[in-house]
Amino acid sequence: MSRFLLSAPRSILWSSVLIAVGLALELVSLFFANPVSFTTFLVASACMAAGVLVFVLAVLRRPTPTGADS
Amino acid sequence: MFVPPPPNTPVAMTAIAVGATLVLVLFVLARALGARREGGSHDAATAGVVAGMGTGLLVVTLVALPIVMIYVGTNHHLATSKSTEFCMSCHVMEDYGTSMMVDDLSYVPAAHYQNRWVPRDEACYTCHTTYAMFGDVQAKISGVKHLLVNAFGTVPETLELYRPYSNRECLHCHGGARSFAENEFHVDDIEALVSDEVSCSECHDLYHEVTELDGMDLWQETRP
Repeated sequence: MSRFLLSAPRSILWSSVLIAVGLALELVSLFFANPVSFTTFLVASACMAAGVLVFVLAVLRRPTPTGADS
Repeated sequence: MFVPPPPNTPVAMTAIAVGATLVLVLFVLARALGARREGGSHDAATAGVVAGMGTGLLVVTLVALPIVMIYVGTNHHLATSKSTEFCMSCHVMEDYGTSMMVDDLSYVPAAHYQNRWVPRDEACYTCHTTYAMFGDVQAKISGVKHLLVNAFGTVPETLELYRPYSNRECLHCHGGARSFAENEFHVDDIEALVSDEVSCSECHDLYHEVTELDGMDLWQETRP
């Protein structure tokens, strides 16, 4: 598995930024009950989904470097 | 002024789960930035993170946990959006909330709210959702429309229902209740009521009369 991760050099940075932003927005939205917090959560979900996609697609699409696991 | 009760949706456990995930993700981010600074490249950053926390935990942190948090958050917000406080957070709904406090139980919403025939923390949703297979979904779509009109459109002076109020929504609770079943008017017209040929509102005809609120007495709740 590590060779797949190593083959996606930028993905960890970008996906962790997107997911962190999404989680922070979700955390704030939890403490309110109004349409603004609901919309904030929708934005947060989009950020998190994008973060997961960035990571997964990068891992799946990049060519595997030879001997990265060794 | 009508003060809605807070939603009965526990937030502590959800917030702790989201917070803990955020800490994990920030840890990944910090390691990636630190390793990149030391190694000078994205490859070095990735290698540093993988070496520091293991691939299993990394995949859980960047894939599994965010998906779980989206699910948890969706559940929380769908539950919260049913709350009276959520509906009353829009300025345009304030008079409708106040109309539930009218000190006259011949008004249908006032009778239901004050007698606790509907849960007070979900008073609007209980009567204004559709008790059919996709009622919840329809209610959410209508809610998004309201949000868009409130934010970008012009709110009409008089609010109207999208479609005539179906007796099904009343009978969902009242159907089969003794007080309903033994009422001679209901017995005589039961088939017409079930098929919506006769509307409940033909007899029970006082609802959210927001234009008549000025000067009306409001119920002051007293707790024993």
